[in-house]
Amino acid sequence: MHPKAKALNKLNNQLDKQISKENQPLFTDMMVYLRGADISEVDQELVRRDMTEMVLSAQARGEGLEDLIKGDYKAFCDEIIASLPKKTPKQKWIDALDITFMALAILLPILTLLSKDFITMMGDVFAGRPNDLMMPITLGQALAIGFILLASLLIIRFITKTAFNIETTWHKVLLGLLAGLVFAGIFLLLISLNHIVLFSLHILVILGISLAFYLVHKVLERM
Amino acid sequence: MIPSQMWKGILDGCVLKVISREETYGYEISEALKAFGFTEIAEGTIYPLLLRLERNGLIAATYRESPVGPRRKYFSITDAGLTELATFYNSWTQLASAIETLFEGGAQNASQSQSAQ
Repeated sequence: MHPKAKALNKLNNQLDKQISKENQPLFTDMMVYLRGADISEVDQELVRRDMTEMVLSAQARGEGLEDLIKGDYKAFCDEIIASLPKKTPKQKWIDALDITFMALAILLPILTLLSKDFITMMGDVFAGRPNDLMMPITLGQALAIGFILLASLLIIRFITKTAFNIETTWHKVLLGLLAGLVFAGIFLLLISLNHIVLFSLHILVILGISLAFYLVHKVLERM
Repeated sequence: MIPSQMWKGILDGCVLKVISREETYGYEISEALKAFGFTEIAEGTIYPLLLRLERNGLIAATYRESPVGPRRKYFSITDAGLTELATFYNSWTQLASAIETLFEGGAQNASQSQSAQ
Protein backbone atom coordinates (compact mmCIF):
# COMPACT_ATOMS: atom_id res chain seq x y z
CA MET A 1 0.00 0.00 0.00
CA HIS A 2 1.25 3.48 -0.88
CA PRO A 3 2.56 5.30 2.25
CA LYS A 4 -0.03 8.06 1.82
CA ALA A 5 -2.83 5.49 1.52
CA LYS A 6 -1.42 3.60 4.50
CA ALA A 7 -1.46 6.71 6.72
CA LEU A 8 -5.06 7.44 5.70
CA ASN A 9 -5.98 3.79 6.20
CA LYS A 10 -4.68 3.90 9.76
CA LEU A 11 -6.66 7.06 10.50
CA ASN A 12 -9.79 5.59 8.89
CA ASN A 13 -9.50 2.36 10.87
CA GLN A 14 -9.51 4.47 14.04
CA LEU A 15 -12.55 6.48 12.98
CA ASP A 16 -14.32 3.37 11.76
CA LYS A 17 -14.74 2.22 15.36
CA GLN A 18 -17.18 5.07 16.00
CA ILE A 19 -19.59 3.89 13.31
CA SER A 20 -22.67 2.40 14.95
CA LYS A 21 -23.60 -1.26 14.78
CA GLU A 22 -26.65 -0.39 12.67
CA ASN A 23 -24.60 1.44 10.04
CA GLN A 24 -21.55 -0.83 10.09
CA PRO A 25 -22.69 -3.74 7.82
CA LEU A 26 -23.86 -1.54 4.97
CA PHE A 27 -20.88 0.79 5.36
CA THR A 28 -18.52 -2.17 5.14
CA ASP A 29 -20.29 -3.48 2.02
CA MET A 30 -19.84 -0.08 0.38
CA MET A 31 -16.16 0.09 1.25
CA VAL A 32 -15.58 -3.48 0.03
CA TYR A 33 -17.25 -2.57 -3.25
CA LEU A 34 -15.03 0.51 -3.60
CA ARG A 35 -11.94 -1.64 -2.93
CA GLY A 36 -12.63 -3.55 -6.12
CA ALA A 37 -13.00 -0.38 -8.19
CA ASP A 38 -10.55 0.83 -10.76
CA ILE A 39 -9.44 3.84 -8.65
CA SER A 40 -6.23 4.48 -6.71
CA GLU A 41 -5.81 3.30 -3.12
CA VAL A 42 -5.29 6.91 -2.02
CA ASP A 43 -8.63 7.91 -3.59
CA GLN A 44 -10.29 4.89 -1.95
CA GLU A 45 -9.06 5.98 1.46
CA LEU A 46 -9.98 9.63 0.82
CA VAL A 47 -13.53 8.60 -0.08
CA ARG A 48 -13.61 6.36 2.97
CA ARG A 49 -12.60 9.29 5.17
CA ASP A 50 -15.27 11.56 3.64
CA MET A 51 -17.89 8.85 3.97
CA THR A 52 -16.93 8.12 7.58
CA GLU A 53 -17.27 11.80 8.45
CA MET A 54 -20.67 11.90 6.74
CA VAL A 55 -21.89 8.80 8.59
CA LEU A 56 -20.59 10.00 11.98
CA SER A 57 -22.21 13.42 11.45
CA ALA A 58 -25.47 11.69 10.47
CA GLN A 59 -25.25 9.54 13.61
CA ALA A 60 -24.76 12.69 15.71
CA ARG A 61 -27.98 14.07 14.17
CA GLY A 62 -29.76 10.83 15.04
CA GLU A 63 -29.85 9.71 11.42
CA GLY A 64 -28.53 6.60 9.68
CA LEU A 65 -26.90 5.65 6.40
CA GLU A 66 -30.33 5.20 4.83
CA ASP A 67 -31.04 8.93 5.41
CA LEU A 68 -27.73 9.84 3.85
CA ILE A 69 -28.07 7.75 0.74
CA LYS A 70 -31.63 7.44 -0.38
CA GLY A 71 -32.13 4.50 -2.68
CA ASP A 72 -29.60 2.38 -4.48
CA TYR A 73 -26.28 1.98 -2.59
CA LYS A 74 -24.52 0.29 -5.49
CA ALA A 75 -25.55 3.11 -7.84
CA PHE A 76 -24.24 5.60 -5.29
CA CYS A 77 -20.86 3.83 -5.20
CA ASP A 78 -20.81 3.61 -9.00
CA GLU A 79 -21.35 7.38 -9.18
CA ILE A 80 -18.46 7.98 -6.80
CA ILE A 81 -16.22 5.70 -8.87
CA ALA A 82 -17.26 7.49 -12.06
CA SER A 83 -16.40 10.86 -10.45
CA LEU A 84 -12.81 9.83 -9.69
CA PRO A 85 -9.86 9.39 -12.06
CA LYS A 86 -9.38 5.83 -13.32
CA LYS A 87 -6.12 4.00 -12.74
CA THR A 88 -3.81 4.32 -15.74
CA PRO A 89 -2.73 1.08 -17.48
CA LYS A 90 0.79 1.76 -16.13
CA GLN A 91 -0.53 2.02 -12.56
CA LYS A 92 -2.53 -1.18 -13.02
CA TRP A 93 0.65 -3.01 -14.04
CA ILE A 94 2.60 -1.59 -11.12
CA ASP A 95 -0.18 -2.63 -8.70
CA ALA A 96 -0.41 -6.14 -10.18
CA LEU A 97 3.38 -6.61 -9.96
CA ASP A 98 3.38 -5.18 -6.43
CA ILE A 99 0.80 -7.74 -5.25
CA THR A 100 2.60 -10.57 -7.06
CA PHE A 101 5.99 -9.78 -5.53
CA MET A 102 4.49 -9.36 -2.07
CA ALA A 103 2.70 -12.72 -2.39
CA LEU A 104 5.88 -14.42 -3.64
CA ALA A 105 7.88 -12.95 -0.76
CA ILE A 106 5.41 -14.59 1.65
CA LEU A 107 4.67 -17.84 -0.21
CA LEU A 108 8.23 -18.82 -1.06
CA PRO A 109 9.49 -19.07 2.55
CA ILE A 110 6.20 -20.63 3.74
CA LEU A 111 6.23 -23.41 1.14
CA THR A 112 9.92 -23.97 1.80
CA LEU A 113 9.46 -24.22 5.57
CA LEU A 114 6.52 -26.61 5.12
CA SER A 115 8.35 -28.96 2.78
CA LYS A 116 9.55 -32.43 3.78
CA ASP A 117 13.08 -31.62 2.63
CA PHE A 118 13.32 -28.70 5.03
CA ILE A 119 12.31 -30.93 7.94
CA THR A 120 14.95 -33.50 6.92
CA MET A 121 17.48 -30.70 6.55
CA MET A 122 16.78 -29.35 10.03
CA GLY A 123 16.97 -32.89 11.44
CA ASP A 124 20.41 -33.31 9.89
CA VAL A 125 21.61 -29.92 11.11
CA PHE A 126 20.53 -30.55 14.71
CA ALA A 127 21.86 -34.10 14.74
CA GLY A 128 25.19 -32.90 13.34
CA ARG A 129 24.83 -35.03 10.18
CA PRO A 130 26.31 -33.63 6.95
CA ASN A 131 23.84 -31.68 4.77
CA ASP A 132 24.58 -29.40 1.81
CA LEU A 133 21.58 -27.17 2.71
CA MET A 134 20.30 -27.42 -0.86
CA MET A 135 16.50 -27.29 -1.19
CA PRO A 136 14.91 -28.99 -4.18
CA ILE A 137 12.21 -26.80 -5.76
CA THR A 138 9.55 -29.10 -7.18
CA LEU A 139 7.03 -28.63 -9.97
CA GLY A 140 4.32 -29.10 -7.33
CA GLN A 141 5.59 -26.14 -5.31
CA ALA A 142 5.97 -23.89 -8.36
CA LEU A 143 2.45 -24.68 -9.59
CA ALA A 144 1.01 -24.30 -6.08
CA ILE A 145 2.42 -20.77 -5.89
CA GLY A 146 0.87 -19.87 -9.24
CA PHE A 147 -2.41 -21.47 -8.24
CA ILE A 148 -2.60 -19.65 -4.89
CA LEU A 149 -1.84 -16.30 -6.59
CA LEU A 150 -4.50 -16.76 -9.24
CA ALA A 151 -7.11 -18.09 -6.82
CA SER A 152 -6.54 -15.23 -4.35
CA LEU A 153 -7.02 -12.64 -7.08
CA LEU A 154 -10.22 -14.37 -8.25
CA ILE A 155 -11.62 -14.64 -4.72
CA ILE A 156 -10.90 -10.95 -3.99
CA ARG A 157 -12.51 -9.96 -7.28
CA PHE A 158 -15.56 -12.09 -6.52
CA ILE A 159 -15.97 -10.64 -3.01
CA THR A 160 -15.63 -7.01 -4.09
CA LYS A 161 -17.92 -7.31 -7.11
CA THR A 162 -20.68 -9.01 -5.12
CA ALA A 163 -20.32 -6.85 -1.98
CA PHE A 164 -23.99 -5.88 -1.99
CA ASN A 165 -25.48 -9.35 -2.43
CA ILE A 166 -23.07 -11.54 -0.52
CA GLU A 167 -25.89 -12.55 1.85
CA THR A 168 -27.65 -14.57 -0.83
CA THR A 169 -27.14 -18.29 -0.41
CA TRP A 170 -25.76 -19.06 -3.85
CA HIS A 171 -22.98 -16.52 -3.42
CA LYS A 172 -21.96 -18.10 -0.15
CA VAL A 173 -22.07 -21.58 -1.70
CA LEU A 174 -20.03 -20.42 -4.69
CA LEU A 175 -17.45 -18.71 -2.49
CA GLY A 176 -17.17 -21.83 -0.31
CA LEU A 177 -16.79 -24.02 -3.38
CA LEU A 178 -14.13 -21.73 -4.81
CA ALA A 179 -12.15 -21.73 -1.56
CA GLY A 180 -12.53 -25.50 -1.28
CA LEU A 181 -11.30 -25.98 -4.84
CA VAL A 182 -8.27 -23.82 -4.14
CA PHE A 183 -7.23 -25.85 -1.11
CA ALA A 184 -7.92 -29.16 -2.85
CA GLY A 185 -5.97 -27.96 -5.89
CA ILE A 186 -2.94 -26.89 -3.89
CA PHE A 187 -2.97 -30.16 -1.94
CA LEU A 188 -3.20 -32.27 -5.08
CA LEU A 189 -0.48 -30.30 -6.85
CA LEU A 190 1.88 -30.66 -3.93
CA ILE A 191 1.19 -34.38 -3.50
CA SER A 192 1.23 -35.46 -7.13
CA LEU A 193 3.99 -33.28 -8.55
CA ASN A 194 6.36 -33.08 -5.62
CA HIS A 195 8.67 -35.75 -6.98
CA ILE A 196 9.49 -33.70 -10.10
CA VAL A 197 12.44 -31.53 -9.04
CA LEU A 198 12.91 -28.46 -11.23
CA PHE A 199 16.15 -27.27 -9.64
CA SER A 200 17.80 -27.01 -6.25
CA LEU A 201 18.72 -23.87 -4.36
CA HIS A 202 20.72 -23.23 -1.22
CA ILE A 203 18.38 -22.41 1.68
CA LEU A 204 20.05 -19.00 2.13
CA VAL A 205 19.54 -18.25 -1.58
CA ILE A 206 15.81 -18.96 -1.18
CA LEU A 207 15.65 -16.63 1.79
CA GLY A 208 17.69 -14.05 -0.15
CA ILE A 209 15.31 -14.26 -3.13
CA SER A 210 12.31 -13.88 -0.79
CA LEU A 211 13.91 -10.81 0.76
CA ALA A 212 14.64 -9.39 -2.71
CA PHE A 213 10.99 -9.94 -3.72
CA TYR A 214 9.90 -8.15 -0.55
CA LEU A 215 12.17 -5.20 -1.34
CA VAL A 216 10.84 -5.02 -4.92
CA HIS A 217 7.31 -4.94 -3.43
CA LYS A 218 8.37 -2.14 -1.06
CA VAL A 219 9.66 -0.09 -4.02
CA LEU A 220 6.60 -0.80 -6.19
CA GLU A 221 4.06 0.13 -3.49
CA ARG A 222 5.52 3.63 -3.36
CA MET A 223 4.99 4.17 -7.08
CA MET B 1 -41.46 15.43 -7.07
CA ILE B 2 -38.91 16.26 -9.76
CA PRO B 3 -37.67 13.14 -11.58
CA SER B 4 -33.96 12.41 -11.15
CA GLN B 5 -33.40 12.53 -14.92
CA MET B 6 -34.45 16.19 -14.89
CA TRP B 7 -32.15 16.90 -11.96
CA LYS B 8 -29.06 15.53 -13.64
CA GLY B 9 -28.35 18.54 -15.81
CA ILE B 10 -29.16 21.27 -13.33
CA LEU B 11 -28.02 20.01 -9.93
CA ASP B 12 -24.35 20.82 -10.68
CA GLY B 13 -25.24 24.46 -11.35
CA CYS B 14 -27.45 24.71 -8.24
CA VAL B 15 -24.74 23.22 -6.00
CA LEU B 16 -22.16 25.60 -7.51
CA LYS B 17 -24.49 28.52 -6.75
CA VAL B 18 -24.88 27.44 -3.10
CA ILE B 19 -21.09 27.07 -2.74
CA SER B 20 -20.50 30.46 -4.40
CA ARG B 21 -22.44 32.17 -1.59
CA GLU B 22 -20.08 30.95 1.14
CA GLU B 23 -17.71 28.12 1.98
CA THR B 24 -19.83 25.14 2.94
CA TYR B 25 -20.01 21.33 3.25
CA GLY B 26 -22.17 18.49 1.91
CA TYR B 27 -24.92 18.35 4.51
CA GLU B 28 -25.23 22.13 4.66
CA ILE B 29 -25.58 22.23 0.85
CA SER B 30 -28.40 19.67 0.90
CA GLU B 31 -30.11 21.62 3.68
CA ALA B 32 -29.68 24.91 1.78
CA LEU B 33 -31.22 23.40 -1.35
CA LYS B 34 -34.12 22.15 0.77
CA ALA B 35 -34.59 25.61 2.25
CA PHE B 36 -34.80 27.06 -1.27
CA GLY B 37 -37.70 24.73 -1.98
CA PHE B 38 -35.89 22.05 -3.95
CA THR B 39 -37.34 18.63 -3.37
CA GLU B 40 -35.28 16.67 -0.93
CA ILE B 41 -31.74 16.15 -2.20
CA ALA B 42 -29.89 13.75 0.13
CA GLU B 43 -26.30 14.45 1.09
CA GLY B 44 -25.40 11.19 -0.62
CA THR B 45 -26.73 12.49 -3.93
CA ILE B 46 -24.50 15.52 -3.68
CA TYR B 47 -21.27 13.78 -2.62
CA PRO B 48 -20.30 12.19 -5.98
CA LEU B 49 -21.18 15.47 -7.65
CA LEU B 50 -18.87 17.39 -5.29
CA LEU B 51 -16.06 14.95 -6.09
CA ARG B 52 -16.58 15.58 -9.79
CA LEU B 53 -16.72 19.38 -9.42
CA GLU B 54 -13.55 19.27 -7.33
CA ARG B 55 -11.77 17.05 -9.87
CA ASN B 56 -12.74 19.46 -12.65
CA GLY B 57 -11.30 22.37 -10.66
CA LEU B 58 -14.65 24.17 -10.27
CA ILE B 59 -14.53 23.98 -6.46
CA ALA B 60 -11.65 23.65 -3.99
CA ALA B 61 -11.76 21.60 -0.79
CA THR B 62 -10.28 22.32 2.64
CA TYR B 63 -10.48 20.04 5.65
CA ARG B 64 -11.57 21.76 8.86
CA GLU B 65 -12.23 20.49 12.37
CA SER B 66 -15.77 19.33 12.99
CA PRO B 67 -17.47 18.80 16.34
CA VAL B 68 -18.11 15.12 15.52
CA GLY B 69 -14.51 13.93 15.28
CA PRO B 70 -13.10 13.54 11.79
CA ARG B 71 -12.22 16.68 9.91
CA ARG B 72 -14.94 17.86 7.58
CA LYS B 73 -14.46 18.75 3.93
CA TYR B 74 -15.46 22.37 3.17
CA PHE B 75 -15.82 23.61 -0.37
CA SER B 76 -15.32 27.03 -1.94
CA ILE B 77 -15.81 28.09 -5.54
CA THR B 78 -12.82 28.68 -7.82
CA ASP B 79 -12.50 31.21 -10.67
CA ALA B 80 -13.20 28.42 -13.15
CA GLY B 81 -16.27 27.58 -11.06
CA LEU B 82 -17.52 31.16 -11.24
CA THR B 83 -17.17 31.14 -15.03
CA GLU B 84 -19.02 27.80 -15.18
CA LEU B 85 -21.75 29.19 -12.93
CA ALA B 86 -22.25 32.19 -15.26
CA THR B 87 -22.46 29.85 -18.27
CA PHE B 88 -24.94 27.62 -16.42
CA TYR B 89 -27.19 30.53 -15.47
CA ASN B 90 -27.07 31.86 -19.00
CA SER B 91 -28.09 28.46 -20.42
CA TRP B 92 -30.77 28.08 -17.78
CA THR B 93 -32.29 31.49 -18.55
CA GLN B 94 -32.43 30.62 -22.25
CA LEU B 95 -34.00 27.25 -21.51
CA ALA B 96 -36.48 28.69 -19.00
CA SER B 97 -37.59 31.40 -21.42
CA ALA B 98 -37.95 28.88 -24.26
CA ILE B 99 -40.09 26.60 -22.08
CA GLU B 100 -42.13 29.56 -20.89
CA THR B 101 -42.77 30.69 -24.49
CA LEU B 102 -43.60 27.16 -25.60
CA PHE B 103 -46.10 26.56 -22.82
CA GLU B 104 -47.65 30.05 -22.83
CA GLY B 105 -47.82 29.91 -26.62
CA GLY B 106 -49.40 26.49 -26.32
CA ALA B 107 -52.07 27.81 -23.96
CA GLN B 108 -52.80 30.71 -26.33
CA ASN B 109 -53.03 28.36 -29.29
CA ALA B 110 -55.42 26.17 -27.36
CA SER B 111 -57.66 29.11 -26.39
CA GLN B 112 -57.53 30.45 -29.96
CA SER B 113 -58.66 27.13 -31.37
CA GLN B 114 -61.43 26.96 -28.73
CA SER B 115 -62.75 30.47 -29.56
CA ALA B 116 -62.72 29.63 -33.26
CA GLN B 117 -65.18 26.81 -32.62
